[in-house]
Amino acid sequence: MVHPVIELEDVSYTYPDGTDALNRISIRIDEGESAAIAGPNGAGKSTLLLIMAGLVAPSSGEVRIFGRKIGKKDIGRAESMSDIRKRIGIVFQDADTQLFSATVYDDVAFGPMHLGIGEDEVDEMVKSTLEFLGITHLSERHPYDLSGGEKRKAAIATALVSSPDVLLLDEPTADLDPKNRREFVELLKKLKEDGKTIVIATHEMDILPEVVERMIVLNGEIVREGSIGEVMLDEKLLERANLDVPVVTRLFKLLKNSDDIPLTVEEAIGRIKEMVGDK
Amino acid sequence: MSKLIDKTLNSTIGYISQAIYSEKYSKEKGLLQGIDCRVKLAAFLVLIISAVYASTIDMLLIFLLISSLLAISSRIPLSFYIPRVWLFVPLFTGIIAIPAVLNVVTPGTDVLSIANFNGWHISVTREGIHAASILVIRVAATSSFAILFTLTTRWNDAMEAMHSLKLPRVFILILSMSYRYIFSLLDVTKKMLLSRKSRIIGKERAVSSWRLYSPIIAALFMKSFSFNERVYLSMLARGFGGEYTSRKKARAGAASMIFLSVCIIVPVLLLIYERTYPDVVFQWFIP
Repeated sequence: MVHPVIELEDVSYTYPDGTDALNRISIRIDEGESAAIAGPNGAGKSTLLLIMAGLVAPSSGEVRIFGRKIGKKDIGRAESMSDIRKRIGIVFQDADTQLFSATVYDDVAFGPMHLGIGEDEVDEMVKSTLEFLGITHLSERHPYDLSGGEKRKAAIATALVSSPDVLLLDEPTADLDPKNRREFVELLKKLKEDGKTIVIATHEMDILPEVVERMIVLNGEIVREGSIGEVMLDEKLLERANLDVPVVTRLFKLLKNSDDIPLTVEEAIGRIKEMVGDK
Repeated sequence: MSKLIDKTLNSTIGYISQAIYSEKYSKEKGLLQGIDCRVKLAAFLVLIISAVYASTIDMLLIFLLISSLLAISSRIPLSFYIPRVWLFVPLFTGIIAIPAVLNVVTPGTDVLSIANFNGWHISVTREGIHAASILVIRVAATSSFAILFTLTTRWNDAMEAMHSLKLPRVFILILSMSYRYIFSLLDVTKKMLLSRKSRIIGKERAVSSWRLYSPIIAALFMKSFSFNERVYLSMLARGFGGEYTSRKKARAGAASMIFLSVCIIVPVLLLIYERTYPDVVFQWFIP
């Protein structure tokens, strides 16, 4: 039986200046699921992720994380939220937000240290996370000295170090060059294979078909929800939401006007091989 | 007005590069870099307190010599170190000390007469020169140890040392984060000023340019405020509940303990010598 990890019911959020960011959002994210929240700039994706992480309370509606109802008063309580903090890792849009210590090591160690884990264990966790992401050499570097891609990897390390069950990623590929982006996609695939629940907020469509199964199009409210294949092929919807299909999908749409359109390069290779009769 | 922008830009970039450049010495394999940061902090506190208690110029010069020897043994070039020690000393302490050389503040034997009128006179006195020199050299000696500590200690190690001295954790966290975000804020400032500069055509009047600068300051304030909020959320996401926890350091090694012992014994012996044989000590700068 699949358990829900995050449930939002009729969640609305209004900024302090009175602007409505989210309007009656109802989402359920199941254990082991990977989903994308896509939408144009200012659609409320980041705010939605913060609510899903139990960091911001909605103006109205109900939030349940791992079956537990999260109220406004719970958010600042470190002890009562400790289990949720341990099980949900979030990567913020701006990596600088997440790197506030004097070294990368200290930043990665910050989470486990504050979750009451023993020092030796923290050291082991930090080292293995840095090694997993291939950034051991950055361990003693000042975050200011890092490149955009290195900062992003360090920020991901801060979220992964506690081995969370759920990973919330806000525009995770924003600062990455093509090589790092590819590595990041491979990393997400690996995490997905490990059974992690992944939610990605982005407007960059190219990486999504490889890592998510479900897509939610957001623009203040849920515009469309469905499988990645269904949503990606709804051109009119994507256009309305200022989104675009992956390059390979666009190419095949132009070449072959059918419903059997690939979303990833691997799928495209399969179709081409079929077309030329190479098995 | 572009001169002001240029100067602000240069200072901003200069500060960032100098701070990073200084960090380089903390990674060198020298004497002080190998000493446990807590021991180093304690040893330098002893040296600073001893320099404060030294009452003669030559004893203070010995302390300056000790700091220079420590800098050399820590692979810090004197050409980099000495200007840092003496840059602000003549600037601030020197200015403060100027009135002290005059007879109106420190009466004594006249060395140089400056003005005479109706029985009143202003002159530089021997005792005044001595008092001012002591003040300036003492500040230089004490600040030289503080500068050595910052140059040879990585920021997080310095924070650890403060932590071991039982300073409040929140204070250390704020200090640590201020250091981290001063770079980001300077970076944002630099970009904003560069973008401003790229849109300037011709000369501007001072008043109108200041009028244009106020929105930049306001925008910077708003950005730092929203940044601060997001940083707090990212800390909250990782279990922060208002109490800062940092990693503990292993015990200090034998070399660090020997260094601390030397740093206690040598200044104490120097001060005892100074107090026991005051006549042997040569009184500098006294004509």
